[in-house]
Amino acid sequence: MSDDHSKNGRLIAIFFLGVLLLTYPILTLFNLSILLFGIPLLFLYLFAVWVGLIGLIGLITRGALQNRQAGTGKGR
Amino acid sequence: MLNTWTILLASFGYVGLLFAIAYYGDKRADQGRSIVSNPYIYALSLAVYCTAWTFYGSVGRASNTGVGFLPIYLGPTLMAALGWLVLRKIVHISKIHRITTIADFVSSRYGKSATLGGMVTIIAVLGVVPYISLQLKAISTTFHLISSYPDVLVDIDHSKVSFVEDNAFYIAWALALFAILFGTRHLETTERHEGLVAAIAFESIVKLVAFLAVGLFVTFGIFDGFGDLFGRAAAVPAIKDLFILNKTPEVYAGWAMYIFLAMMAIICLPRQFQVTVVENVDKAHLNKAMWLFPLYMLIINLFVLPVAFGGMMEFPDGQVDADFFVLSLPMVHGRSGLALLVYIGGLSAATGMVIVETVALSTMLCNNLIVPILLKIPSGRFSQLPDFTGFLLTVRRASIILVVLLGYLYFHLIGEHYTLVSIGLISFTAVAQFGPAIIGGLFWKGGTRNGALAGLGIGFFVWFYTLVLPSMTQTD
Repeated sequence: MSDDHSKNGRLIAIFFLGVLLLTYPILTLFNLSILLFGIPLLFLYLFAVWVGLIGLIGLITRGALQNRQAGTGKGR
Repeated sequence: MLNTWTILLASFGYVGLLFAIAYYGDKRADQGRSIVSNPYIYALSLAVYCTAWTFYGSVGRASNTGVGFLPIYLGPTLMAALGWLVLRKIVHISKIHRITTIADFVSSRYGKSATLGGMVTIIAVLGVVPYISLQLKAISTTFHLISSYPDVLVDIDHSKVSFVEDNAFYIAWALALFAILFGTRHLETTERHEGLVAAIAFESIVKLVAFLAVGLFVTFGIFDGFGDLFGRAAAVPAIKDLFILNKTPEVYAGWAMYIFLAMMAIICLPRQFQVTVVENVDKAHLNKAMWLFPLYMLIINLFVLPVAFGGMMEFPDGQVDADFFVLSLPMVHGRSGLALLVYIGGLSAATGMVIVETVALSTMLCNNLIVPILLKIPSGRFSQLPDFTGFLLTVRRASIILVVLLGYLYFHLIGEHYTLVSIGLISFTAVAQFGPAIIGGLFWKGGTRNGALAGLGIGFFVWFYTLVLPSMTQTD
């Protein structure tokens, strides 16, 4: 149960991180009309954040980002 | 190369295949050897979220607003992060209390209020009908478009097409039949439909493959990769403007609001509740689906901007509807096979939505509206009918037909004047009214039945007055 609890906390943190990165005002930092690697910066940024969020959700639900004391070997 | 008969044969052949898959899925379920009991099929069935709106409409939206189509998919991704907190709890409560619809869920959180359940049902049906109509519009428009292959400059005036010549009308009936056969096979307390889920998961694969195929064709066939495409797009001022969001407070506020609406939609849409909660075989499947489903949305959206910009460069004078660039681009380049694949992909996106939505709404109409009313009539001893189960199934089947017909009617009367995404957003806003009642019901002990009723009622009135009435008065 404590395993579940710590996962839950981490996922909620990811949620707020996502809200922060995907909305005003952080969004304005990347809302620039320039190309990076041939791709508009804003597109690259949004998709990169998106990939990051999915990756983090995946890692956390698998238990890969677990504290050492919160049960090793669980969730693999 | 592509005559009307080939297209008709492909359309109905595809729907026939769905019947076969659903039949097989149900048969395996009856034998106790489920084909849907794994997180991958579960995640694919959640992707019923991606409808004709995603398949065709996103490109149309992107050609007006650039990244403005993305909040609809970022919202559910953020909600997936809260999946452990919110979705798991909803699934858990629903399994314990044998909740089968969103109306059940809301009413059960506020003292099993039948009035509340009935109200949720009415809002859900009226709110989602435009959404169903947009699927039928997409089916009808793409059929007429691909039938004129390779000419993409067809002026499609749906009001001049009678329903007898409109293949969307027949597809709508086929879908109603599908929903009746596999959605109301028998009454079960769990309301799980494995065959239906198998068919929906299959549809999710088809639409993904079709969209990726056209995306790859545009990016690497017509253009020479992303760099070339965006480089050339940057030379067109009208497209370069779409590289960024307009730097106005309204645009940033709208961006955040769409993210919020989509977050609500992923738990409030009747079909999402059906696939996420009701059809869930094992709670543990949520763990993988929480990142697989956002990953699906990311992949299906990768090529939206390239297709939108490719279309804008191919048809610079705006004669071709950007909502259907996905289909017109392969058509104008003489790729008949790809065009047919895209058409089938769009059909899969639209049919999946219509099937699950009508099944979910019919369960609600029957359990939360019609039966409670009938049981209140003192003279009618409906519960003592010799064949009460048969009676319930009839009500449910009639509800399916009613919902499909309402969707078709809305498309012909109102929906044809609007872009796909603007129709869909009307529905998103309607179902978002359930959000506070659901979230409040999960985490707030102080909520009352009257409060929930008032909130839903006022929300529904404001929605109707600000979003539906204007759309009705503008059509004439």
